[in-house]
Amino acid sequence: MAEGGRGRLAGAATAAAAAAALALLAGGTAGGRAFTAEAARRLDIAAAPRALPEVVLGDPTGALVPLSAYRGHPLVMEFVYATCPDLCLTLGTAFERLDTLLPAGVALLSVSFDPADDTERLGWFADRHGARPPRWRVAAIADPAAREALLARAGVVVIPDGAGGFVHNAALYLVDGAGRLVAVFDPEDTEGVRAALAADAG
Amino acid sequence: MRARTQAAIGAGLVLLALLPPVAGRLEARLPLQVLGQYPLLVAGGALAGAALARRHGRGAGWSAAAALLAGAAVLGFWMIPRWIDAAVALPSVRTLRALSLVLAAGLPLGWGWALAGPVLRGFALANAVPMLAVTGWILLVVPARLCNSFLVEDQRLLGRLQLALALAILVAAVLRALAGGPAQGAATDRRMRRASPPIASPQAPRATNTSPSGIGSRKP
Amino acid sequence: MAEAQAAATGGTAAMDRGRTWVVLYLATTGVVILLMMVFGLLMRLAQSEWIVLDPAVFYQLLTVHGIGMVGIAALGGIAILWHFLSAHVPLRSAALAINLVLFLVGVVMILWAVFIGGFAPAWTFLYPLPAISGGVWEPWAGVLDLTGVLLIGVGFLILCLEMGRAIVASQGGLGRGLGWHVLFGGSTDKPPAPTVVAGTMVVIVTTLALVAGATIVVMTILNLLFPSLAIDPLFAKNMIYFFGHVFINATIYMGVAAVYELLPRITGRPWKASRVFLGAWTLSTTMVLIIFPHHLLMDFAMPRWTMVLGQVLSYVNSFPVLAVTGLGALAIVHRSGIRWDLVSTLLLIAMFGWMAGVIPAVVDATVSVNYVMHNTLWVPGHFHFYLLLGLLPMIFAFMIHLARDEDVTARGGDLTAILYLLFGLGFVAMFLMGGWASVPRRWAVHMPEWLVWDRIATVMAAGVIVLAGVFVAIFLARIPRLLRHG
Repeated sequence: MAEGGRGRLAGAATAAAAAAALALLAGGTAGGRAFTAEAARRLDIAAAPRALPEVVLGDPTGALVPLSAYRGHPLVMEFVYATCPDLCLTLGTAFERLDTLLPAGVALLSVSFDPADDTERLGWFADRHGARPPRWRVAAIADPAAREALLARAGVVVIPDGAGGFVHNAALYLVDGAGRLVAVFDPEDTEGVRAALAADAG
Repeated sequence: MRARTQAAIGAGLVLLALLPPVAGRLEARLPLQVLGQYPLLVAGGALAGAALARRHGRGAGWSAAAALLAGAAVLGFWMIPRWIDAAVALPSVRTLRALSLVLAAGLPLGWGWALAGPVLRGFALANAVPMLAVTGWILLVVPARLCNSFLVEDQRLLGRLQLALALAILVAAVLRALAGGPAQGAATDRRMRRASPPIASPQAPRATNTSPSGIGSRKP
Repeated sequence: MAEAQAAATGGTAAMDRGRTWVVLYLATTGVVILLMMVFGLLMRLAQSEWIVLDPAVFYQLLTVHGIGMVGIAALGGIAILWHFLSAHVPLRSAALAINLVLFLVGVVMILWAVFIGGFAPAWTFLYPLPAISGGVWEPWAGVLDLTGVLLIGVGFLILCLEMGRAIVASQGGLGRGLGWHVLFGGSTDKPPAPTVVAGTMVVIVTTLALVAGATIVVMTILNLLFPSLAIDPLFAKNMIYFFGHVFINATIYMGVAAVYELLPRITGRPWKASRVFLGAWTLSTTMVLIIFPHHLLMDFAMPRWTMVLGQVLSYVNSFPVLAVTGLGALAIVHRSGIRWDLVSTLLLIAMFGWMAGVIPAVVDATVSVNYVMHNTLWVPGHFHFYLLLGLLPMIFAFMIHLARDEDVTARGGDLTAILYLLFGLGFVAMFLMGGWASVPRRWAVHMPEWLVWDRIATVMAAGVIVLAGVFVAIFLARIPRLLRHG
């Protein structure tokens, strides 16, 4: 009799623990949609667009342009470093495709997160992919604090790859005319970017 | 006395895992973090939990399964790549993780394990092995880098280590069952043969709850 | 889990409840066996071109027949083992209850997945078949089916853990359950009873099979939900056959408890575990775990040594236990003045079916033969031999034994058993002859020249079903009385 009561108690406690476990794991993954920080970042940005902080962009020609100068038109951004042997090439190629794909009003901006990228190295990247301002600007941010603030706001995580380079969460970033980051896409997903812009315009 | 020693060793393990130079090293690499720091923190909590169960676990056998499940869920939560990244990015999350691995994972796991009988322990292990293996396999085969804060090589290494650990746990559990655990095997065996009334022993609460009066009643 | 505490009701009541559950297990087994046999008959009828069956339905029936028979073989086998083992080690029947509930829920999920979801990749759910259906079924059907399989596995895991706990508690370790203290330690302690040895083997191999099975099933489910998580197909096949081969093998080692317990009672001669007996069981325990590569003899990507191992060990795997059991049975029966009746004849048929069933198995495990025969009807021929003439007679004998209130006085009825043997042999022979003639297995539609074997098999199958129906009916008719007496 007492044993039966203990059995029921154990069953109830286990069921409660199972419910709590399920709630914890579901809550921690946005209901199974976000097992990674990358997925969580995209969900979060899509739900609540993020205003990007002001930074001053220096391009290979030496021109200094504030990010706020892009207000009024949609902007597609990517974060790269000039000596990157792999991922940034994919990103550069994606931008080349976007360059031919997107309407004239949309600007492209490749931002370097590598403090060592000077105007010469930015020039390498620009020349390799045929980037020409104002349509497509390759730029670095001289002020370390401003650079870190922008990377943090956008959720860009850069770690050393142990071989002198960097590993980073590569993506394509869509910024609306109000300077808000509204969506993040896979590096290859140029079609997604085009569709989102078309939907916005239409 | 013994419980106090156990709790002290547990506290030592936790301190070791959180000591700045050690913690820095362990947190620098994904496999060291998950298979080095996590186990130290969980073991620290678990030793305290087991000591607690020894002192205050009388009649609390009903909580064993719930405690094991809750502890496993908390441990599992901190293996989600999103939260591994969050702990790297935010010191507050890192602190919360250390606290919860000790108190919300280790403590209930130690408590539950101490109170669990052999069937529940076996069930927990038989679940842990496939879980470790399957998550290890995911780390190996998923095309993406799951943690922004760690290299993909670390991810693959952790996957392989988890597979090895799963196999090691399985082999150890089988060997132990073949040999017969000292807590479950010999002790309960003697008790059963003597058909003594239930003795509250946290080691084998369920075995002692089983009255053996019916043994052999079906013999022809 | 909750069974821990729920199980803690001890004493006579628990033993009686165990008996009630054993009766329920056998009733479920009997009903499902007949249903699955009818599904088999439908497939043979369709191949005989006596009825028209949509091939999609054929493959659904094939899938359900396969997984249903494997599951029910284990359910019936466990009923036998539990009944006899519980006389040697104290078992808590809550595990039986939990397993039956999980089993039935799993069965409903599988039936739903197959007959409503159209899931039909055969019971082996060999990767990547569940994922690549050619549009015949949706991924959810695969997920549902495999979740059902998983639940059933969890149920059997709990049973194995409970039996393992009881053996460890009463014998002092699974090693002693296998009699290692006598075998290796030269101990003069009493060796474990044959049923305890069989139970220990079942616990060890089934638990390992279930852990491997759960792993690959969860991997397959994840692959269905997230296709980018690709599984190495050769790894998947190894895992699935390790699980499947060991699990279905274990069913006969469960059922053999009926031989160890009933023959001595019938003849009045005890069956003692000698050192040879113990050594044989230990050998088979090891080998049954490592011979599964004989299912992969055609996979040229497998390392050569695994193939050699698979072939060599397949030759010797079954022999130790088979020899000690067969010879032991003969020794007990020889000049015992036994009066043959339904139970003893069924047990003898089981020994014959098990021993003779080894022959087609070993033939198929020979690499050069396997290249030619593995995807022919030879393979179903081999496992139907084992299950239809080896395992099922054990289950039927046990049913009749319970229906006769466990009274072992000879009461005739051996003629039905012999008829069952003849129809069963005829049915199995048609599979083997089909295999000999390279008739492929798992084909819904057969060529005209194969019809003769199909049609003979159909008639034989009908005979088997009638006789199996008689055995099951004898048992079912006694259930009210059995439950009343507890």
